[in-house]
Amino acid sequence: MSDHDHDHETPTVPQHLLDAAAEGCAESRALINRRNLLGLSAGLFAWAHMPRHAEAAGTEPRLLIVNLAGALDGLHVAVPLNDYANYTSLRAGLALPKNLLLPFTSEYALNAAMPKFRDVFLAGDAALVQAIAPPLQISSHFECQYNLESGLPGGGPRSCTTGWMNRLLNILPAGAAVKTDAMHVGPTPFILAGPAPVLSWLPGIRSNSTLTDPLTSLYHRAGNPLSVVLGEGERTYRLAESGASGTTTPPTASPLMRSFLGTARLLKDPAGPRIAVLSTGGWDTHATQASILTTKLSELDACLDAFRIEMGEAAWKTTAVVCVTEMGRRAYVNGTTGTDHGVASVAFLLGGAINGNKVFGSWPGLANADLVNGASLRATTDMRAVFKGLLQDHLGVPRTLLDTEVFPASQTVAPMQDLLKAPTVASASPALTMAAASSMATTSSRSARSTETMASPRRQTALARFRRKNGLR
Amino acid sequence: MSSRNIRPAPAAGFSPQAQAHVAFMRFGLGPKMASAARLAAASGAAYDACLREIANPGALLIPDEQVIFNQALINLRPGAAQKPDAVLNYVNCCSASAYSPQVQMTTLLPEPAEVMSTEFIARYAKCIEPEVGFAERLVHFWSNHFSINGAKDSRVMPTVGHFERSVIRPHVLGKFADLLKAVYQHPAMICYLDNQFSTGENSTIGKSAWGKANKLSHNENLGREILELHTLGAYGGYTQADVVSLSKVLTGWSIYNDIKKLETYGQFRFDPGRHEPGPQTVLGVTYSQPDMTQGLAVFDALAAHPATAQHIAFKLIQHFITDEPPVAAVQKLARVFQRTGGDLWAVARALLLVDGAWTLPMTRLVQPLHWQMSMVRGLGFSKNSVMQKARGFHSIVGQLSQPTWGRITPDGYPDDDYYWRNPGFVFARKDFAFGMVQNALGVDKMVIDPEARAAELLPGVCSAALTSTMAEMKTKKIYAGSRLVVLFSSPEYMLR
Repeated sequence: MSDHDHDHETPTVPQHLLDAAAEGCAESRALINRRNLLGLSAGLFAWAHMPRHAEAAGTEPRLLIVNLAGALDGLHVAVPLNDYANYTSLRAGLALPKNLLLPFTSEYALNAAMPKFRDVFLAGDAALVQAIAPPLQISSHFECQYNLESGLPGGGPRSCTTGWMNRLLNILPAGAAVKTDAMHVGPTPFILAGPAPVLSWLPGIRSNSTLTDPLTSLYHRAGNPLSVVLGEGERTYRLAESGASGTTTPPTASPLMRSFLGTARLLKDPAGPRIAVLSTGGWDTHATQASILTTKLSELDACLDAFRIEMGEAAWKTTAVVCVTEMGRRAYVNGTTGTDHGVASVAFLLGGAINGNKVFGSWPGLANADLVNGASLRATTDMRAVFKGLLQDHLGVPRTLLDTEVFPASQTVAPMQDLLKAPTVASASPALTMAAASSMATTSSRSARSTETMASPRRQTALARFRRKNGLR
Repeated sequence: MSSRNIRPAPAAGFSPQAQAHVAFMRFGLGPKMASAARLAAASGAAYDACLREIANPGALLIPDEQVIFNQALINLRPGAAQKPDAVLNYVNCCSASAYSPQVQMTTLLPEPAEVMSTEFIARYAKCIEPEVGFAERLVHFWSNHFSINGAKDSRVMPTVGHFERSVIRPHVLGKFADLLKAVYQHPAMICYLDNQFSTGENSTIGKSAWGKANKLSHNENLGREILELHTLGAYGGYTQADVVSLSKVLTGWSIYNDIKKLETYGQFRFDPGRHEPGPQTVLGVTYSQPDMTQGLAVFDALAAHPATAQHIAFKLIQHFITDEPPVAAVQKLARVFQRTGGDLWAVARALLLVDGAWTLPMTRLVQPLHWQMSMVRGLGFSKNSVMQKARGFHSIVGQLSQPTWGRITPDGYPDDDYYWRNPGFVFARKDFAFGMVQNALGVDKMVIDPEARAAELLPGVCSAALTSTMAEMKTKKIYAGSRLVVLFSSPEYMLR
């Protein structure tokens, strides 16, 4: 596998599109301008239904997963004070001097680009996970990203065509907050791919009501079901753009900021979704890493804080945000003041529901003997443990389903404990318990079925359905 | 059998104009000015146009010479542009282990992403050529059937476009067995499904000290996908043992890996040193050939297998005609496949005759790429203009979640309608359409009368709803570009 599969670099905007934008008439706010293109390359995001069981007043849990695609260098985020000598000797020219770091915990200092995260951390609403990685650790964006999103224990052929969040949705009772009949699966991101209906929004689109209105009218006149689909899309767009609170995203907001603000408005809305995924790239810092990460971490810091403020106090209390990356980077600096692909990195946890002011996960050490192949920070936490901890304590998903359906063959990976201040959804989640019971009952061996899912055949394909239905298998 | 004898009887009240509309939206790439009126002129004209396209397979080809690389780079390498295999050579040289800033500097190679761009630019330029686009749609269908994700690595990215041009296009109207054999002798598929280092444990290399130290063995990835995705299909009657056997049959199906020999580097090769010796049994038949003819014989058997015929028939009908193909229609088309020995021209012709092929209403969403191409054709961009704008077009379908040669898993984009009916993406289409229209009106300075264009592109099939909506917009003096967006976002243009 290549160490340099640069498959997610920000595309440059073709001049003719910029020209088209510049020449557009005044009535259009829908031009494909630089912001739109960058916004979409920064990440498409999608979310799914509110699980009905969690709708009890005041306890609706919100979950946002932020995917920092490209391999964020954790060593450049939280610097180990007790391992500082190794850190500086591995990273000559890249190591952050202590006087430029923010005091953080007794063991770690924080990159100065994240002051707001530090404030939230110290206030008890944010935490960090050190030395975390998905189970597959082979230094490839392509494979590790697939591993993170598929929820599988390791590599191998891509026989699994569903993402773990879609399998999660599949076992949650369908929500009432969002009509299920008009919402269907969006192709990306892969973590949400699968049969459970999912709603998508393109944050880069600046929709033009001079187009929406006549189209709505046209679809209605034609008596075409497209009117329903368009209506759902528009409702989502409007919620994301301004929300019930009436705040709007400033035109100068970066694409990522636009995405975070829209997500907040949707997650907090009484009729909105409760689970969201947001993906943002550009973390692949093979060269001039320090300046790139200063910019990117500052932006992320600002976005996470704007998200918190937009959510408002009440919704923030029931929110858990987790920012993960598909792999870490080498412990040592390369020849271009950057770092190459490694193993373990950090994860950020934020939200009023998060048991904050803590660093989870143990420090594996930067001494040569402690590094993977003498090169990369070892992972002490399997990323699935964090996901499972959040799903269990925040959404109330039973361990049996986590072990088999959401993260197949992960019985040995225990949910991480104490990630939440208090379990948002305690054991009082009868619907889910029932879902668990019925799915256990419908197959004689849940784990056997999961194994089949992984090893294929693809049970959900149209051909498979056709053959089953017609007795042609 | 003459085409007259198999001409489908138009249903009562199924006008020539409706037939043309079905041909363009269901089987083609949307109407264009030059062909819309002709196809709508007489009953059967649209069907005949589809037949004409599949009778001319040569028109589908895109020769290497037409794939215009960064001329500055090619000029710096004397003679390269003249060699017919110049493209593949460039492509080869971008492959993973060789690809580095140093190699790129010394051999003056384009970036892998640049090679892929050049390929999709040529693909976009092709979409404006045909009358209907039926044969071009078949290219897209088979390319998706043998889906390859260029983003896998820098070995696959620069070869995936070449794969479509050199493997798919020459074979989509030929024999399925020939298509199969060509697919697995192309470096893009070999590398995409990890077969280049697949090594028999009892092969020369597998038994060597190095091979044993590295525990070299066969890789099941390609073998499994051949059975599950490319031929028999899920529940097609194969077992895990068949997957293993086929994988062993295919050990040694690899690529040249010596960077010092640029003339062959990265191209397909059968490596006897990696090939597992001895007979293998696949689906109950034992194959004893000592070399790659063993694999070729298995491909002949897989191509002739009834489950393959059924799989292909199902997928074709599901892609072109209906979400839920009736079993009788599938079996009928499968019989054509089998009776003709997998003649894809005969199958394509029979596909046009499937029950329900020429019916209204159209209810399924046109997939993003084909919807976009219908705008490219409807707006009437010149070939040069398409090539200049293709990168922007490519970006748009990527944002609508159908990136060309970018499906993350090897199963290809699904044809299930629900997959594309996502509100967020449907809502966004009008805004992307606006960008397309602005390219025509703003950048290319085209002068288009939206109402006249609607009548020309959709002769006799413009609904009253569309006509009145556009007329009202015109009365309100709403910008012509917005009226064109409404045309291209209308049910007439969005559904197939």
